[in-house]
Amino acid sequence: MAPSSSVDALVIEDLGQQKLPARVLTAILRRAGLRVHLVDLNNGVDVIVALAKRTVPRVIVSSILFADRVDEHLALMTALREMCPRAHLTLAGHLPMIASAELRAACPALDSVLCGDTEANARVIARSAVRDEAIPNSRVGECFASLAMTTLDDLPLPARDDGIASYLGYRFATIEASRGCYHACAFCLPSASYCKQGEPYRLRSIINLVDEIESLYRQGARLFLFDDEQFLPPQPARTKRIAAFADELARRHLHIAFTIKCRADDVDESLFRRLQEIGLLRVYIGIESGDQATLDLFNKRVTVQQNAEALATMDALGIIADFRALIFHPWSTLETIGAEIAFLQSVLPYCSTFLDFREVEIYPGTPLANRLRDEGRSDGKMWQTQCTLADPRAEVVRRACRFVFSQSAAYRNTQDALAREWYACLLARRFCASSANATRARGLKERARRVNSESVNVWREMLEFANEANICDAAQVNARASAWATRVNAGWTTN
Amino acid sequence: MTSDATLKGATVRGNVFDAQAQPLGEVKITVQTTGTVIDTTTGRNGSFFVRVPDPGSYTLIVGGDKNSALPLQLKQFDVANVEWVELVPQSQLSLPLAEIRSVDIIWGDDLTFAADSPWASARYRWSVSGGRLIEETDRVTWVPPTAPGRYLLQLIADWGAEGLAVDALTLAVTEDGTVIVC
Repeated sequence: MAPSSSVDALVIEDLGQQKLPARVLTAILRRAGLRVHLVDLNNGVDVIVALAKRTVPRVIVSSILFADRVDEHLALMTALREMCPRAHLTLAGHLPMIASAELRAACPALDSVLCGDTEANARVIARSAVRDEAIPNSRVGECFASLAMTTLDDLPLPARDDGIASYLGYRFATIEASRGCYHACAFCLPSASYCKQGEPYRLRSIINLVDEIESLYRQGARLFLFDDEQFLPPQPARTKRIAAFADELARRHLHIAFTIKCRADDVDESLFRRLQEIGLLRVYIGIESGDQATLDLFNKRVTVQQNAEALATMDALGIIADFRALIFHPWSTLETIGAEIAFLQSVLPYCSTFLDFREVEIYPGTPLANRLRDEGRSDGKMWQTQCTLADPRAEVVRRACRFVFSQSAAYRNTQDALAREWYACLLARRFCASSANATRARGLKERARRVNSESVNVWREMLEFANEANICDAAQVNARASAWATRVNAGWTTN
Repeated sequence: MTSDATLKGATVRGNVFDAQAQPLGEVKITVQTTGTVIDTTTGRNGSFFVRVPDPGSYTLIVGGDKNSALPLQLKQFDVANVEWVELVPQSQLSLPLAEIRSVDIIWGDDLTFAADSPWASARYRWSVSGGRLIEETDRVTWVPPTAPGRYLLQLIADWGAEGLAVDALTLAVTEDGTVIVC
């Protein structure tokens, strides 16, 4: 006999990320009649195992958002297996879907990995649990086969058990208007995953979407973070959809603010002016690179010129544009890195936030991963592929970058402070028009410009050093890298 | 990259040199894509010429060194000109900053700070942009300046060729002399 505090299922995710997969899975299982506990991975193994001991779940779903926490998820599932020998343990997420066999091999505690449409498979699990039947395929640890894709409008609203979060006095909620993407960038895991599922791009209807916005609005939410891979559908549907979205918000008197993700070639001045009128504050743009050969390698199908123009347009409109600069990829050379830095230098006047220097992550199932594997250069676990750059000088710059721009406490504080001040400025502009905002915005932009300029100067010196110095001399490399880090950190402190 | 409309498909051509800029003959050149592998060798003067029948994504491998494979995106009539300099002696040496390591500044009592890292045997270098530091064996104490302002406390952990790590804190002295660790 299970204790009275028992539940049917635990759904685990890093809830601090404010993402939706576990919340939607929880809602689906509840709709099917299961008692479900939504659990934050950040509680740690001991707390979650104790919870499982107390509640004796039949099903445990671990939803993986990012590759860097896969090992934690697997360790947790192993611990939960000991505590709950009869429970069905399964993984969900884009990464498990692509690397299902490898993850099951790495973690024998698992009974399955949700492949195909996650929500459809969750319903299968729920049905079996409710009827107290064996979960299909669980005996041999097979993945679940693909089922028909769920229509997004048929999904229940995400479970928001932890309430609606608040930032700067404004309640905010993550939301999705679509799933997947109709492009095929060579590094993109969600794109590979949705293609494998058989339906690369799905949209919610505007009525269904605004129903959820209205429900959250009535609970106090004003800021909506669209987590869509591609918020804007292709033309000719795009214009109609944005018009319908605007009309529906107006008809219901929903005065909101929101953020979206898009590509550089989506940026059209009139469209984004319209989006700004209905509340768009900030956009994450998939710029990725300022080197044409790299953009082609990534199959972005945009030009460096389009990237620069997109940033200029956003800046002219007063919409904050964030982007990652993917300086490094497995085929980087000093020339490609130099082209990236030259691009960043050219767009500095349009950058309102700190530049974010990154390496492309090689996800399983993507064209980049396949190419790296074909060249025999993949190291590490399949879900966290590593490689060394062929060009040793580029490799030294990559290593120096990891150190020089590492996220010190000073960096994190300054980064958080700038983000907070920008949001305060943008939200005030949206909800309580203030004449002081323009001056405040100029000040914030100037802060970003000073830090970014110094970063670009450091990059130029790093490239010059790699080109001319003895890169195998550890003492010399460490001394220069330390000096660059000091300059970068001083920038965080004085700005 | 140039183009030549008289050559159907695409062309990869170039020269291979050693580290002293001398031409390298008889070096195997491979241009490959999924399902297609085209091999040739450089001539005495180090030059090579490869025609590929269709545009697409190709990889150029020189001397069988897959670690130095060069990606090529070739369109119809493209002529890719490659100057290849052998870096074998250098690429085979171990490079510095070999591992990604980390260090944290731990704020103790008052204005005393210590270093914490999972990796042992680092040489720690503390610095501050204002005031002074009193260094003891396993900690430092900051003596703030009288002038108000924001100051950088930085710690660099140095393991030689194995790696470097850094952490930094902002320390602020307010107008009334209060010290804040940000």
